[in-house]
Amino acid sequence: MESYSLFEVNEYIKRVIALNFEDAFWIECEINQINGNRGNYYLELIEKSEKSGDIIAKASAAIWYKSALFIKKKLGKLFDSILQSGVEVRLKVNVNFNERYGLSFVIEDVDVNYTMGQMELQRQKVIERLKAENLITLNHSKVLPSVLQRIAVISSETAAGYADFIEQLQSNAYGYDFQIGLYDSAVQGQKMESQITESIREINDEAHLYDCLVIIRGGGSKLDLSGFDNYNIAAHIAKCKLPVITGIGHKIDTTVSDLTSYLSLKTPTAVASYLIDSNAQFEAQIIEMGRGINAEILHRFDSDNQWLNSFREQLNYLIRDRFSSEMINLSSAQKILRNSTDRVIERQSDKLEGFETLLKVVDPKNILKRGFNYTTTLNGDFVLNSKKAKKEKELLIHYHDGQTNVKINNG
Amino acid sequence: MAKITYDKAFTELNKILNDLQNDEVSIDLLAKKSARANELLKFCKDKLRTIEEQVAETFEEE
Repeated sequence: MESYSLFEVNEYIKRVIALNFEDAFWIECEINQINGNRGNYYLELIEKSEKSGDIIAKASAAIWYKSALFIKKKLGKLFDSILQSGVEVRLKVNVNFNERYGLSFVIEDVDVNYTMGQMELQRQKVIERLKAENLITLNHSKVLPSVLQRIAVISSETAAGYADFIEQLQSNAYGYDFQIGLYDSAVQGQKMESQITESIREINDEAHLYDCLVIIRGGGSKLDLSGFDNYNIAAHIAKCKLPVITGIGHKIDTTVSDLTSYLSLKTPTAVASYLIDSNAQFEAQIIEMGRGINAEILHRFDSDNQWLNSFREQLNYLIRDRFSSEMINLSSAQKILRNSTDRVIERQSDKLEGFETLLKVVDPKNILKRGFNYTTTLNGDFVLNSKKAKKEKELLIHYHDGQTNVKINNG
Repeated sequence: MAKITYDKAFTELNKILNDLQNDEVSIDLLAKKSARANELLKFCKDKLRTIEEQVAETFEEE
């Protein structure tokens, strides 16, 4: 049997391929790996089985310097977003076979709309699945505390969005103190899914340490943010023990993760503002309550004070009234005392005067003055009848101004 | 006298006045009773004035 050298065979294959693939054509596949080197890009393309997810086809590809310049000009910022591992792409390729390096696709162009469409299709599928599993509204039923201070953050530590977020929180005008627990995770690329879901699991274990979970990522193209359309990430957010606030990308983007979170805000700084405002609102309520309580107390003090003042006046009046009536009592007692004592003395002296008059009337001297007299013996014995007088020889007759001796003639 | 209350003093004073008015006081005791009544009267007035001043002070303290 004839044999060929390897080079001869490869040369033959090269001719066959060149004959059969004259023009460039489009292929649909997934980028498994991509590496850049001095303006050239080397890729590994794959196709997975829709059912099992197993790789059923694989090929090497390259974008040469010139084509890369053309594609970059066409795609602009999307270049890096589309040409990265895990992205479904439609590529315009030439099949090239090199005797030494083997089969390789040389990429000439990239179909942006295909990738976008695939993304949107994938996105819709994920949303349908989450709806079917009741995960879209699950996190909405969480209760966001009135004060948000202990914040678990999933972001990339080096991302500009994270720096803005922290800066905004720390420079808040109210001087609120925030405690941030950062769970550093990739927010794009292949590691994103595993790192973010792992972070959410960790946070669930430490949920008691936080008031809420914030997931932030600065702006990027729709493709950059498409990682947040991932089913696993969105489902983890839905099932998170904490209310989740997302601030992903710029103004118009809404990722699936935004749909399953408790609250979706447009940017990381919008989340920071929300946290600050939420606390300010709570503080304002407290201040308002304090004012209310103060006013109520002042009002009560005022009315009680008025009541006490009137009571005091009343008391003062009653006491003065009592004093004056007591004084009147004492004064009248004094008068009565005076009068009564005087009258007692007066009555007594009247009686005495009566006695005196009576005594004067019965005084023997006065009787004698009126012409009466009395007789005694020389010894001074009263002679009250003639019988006794007849027994005496001499008698003394008493007058009011003296006495005389009389001889008795008993003949 | 120091330990007597206003009420007791006033009651005693009243009794003496009643007795005087009803002529139930013997003359021998009249001076003594009158002196006692005057003493009670002075005590009551002093006491009343002191209390009034104290009360006025408490009102002014506020």
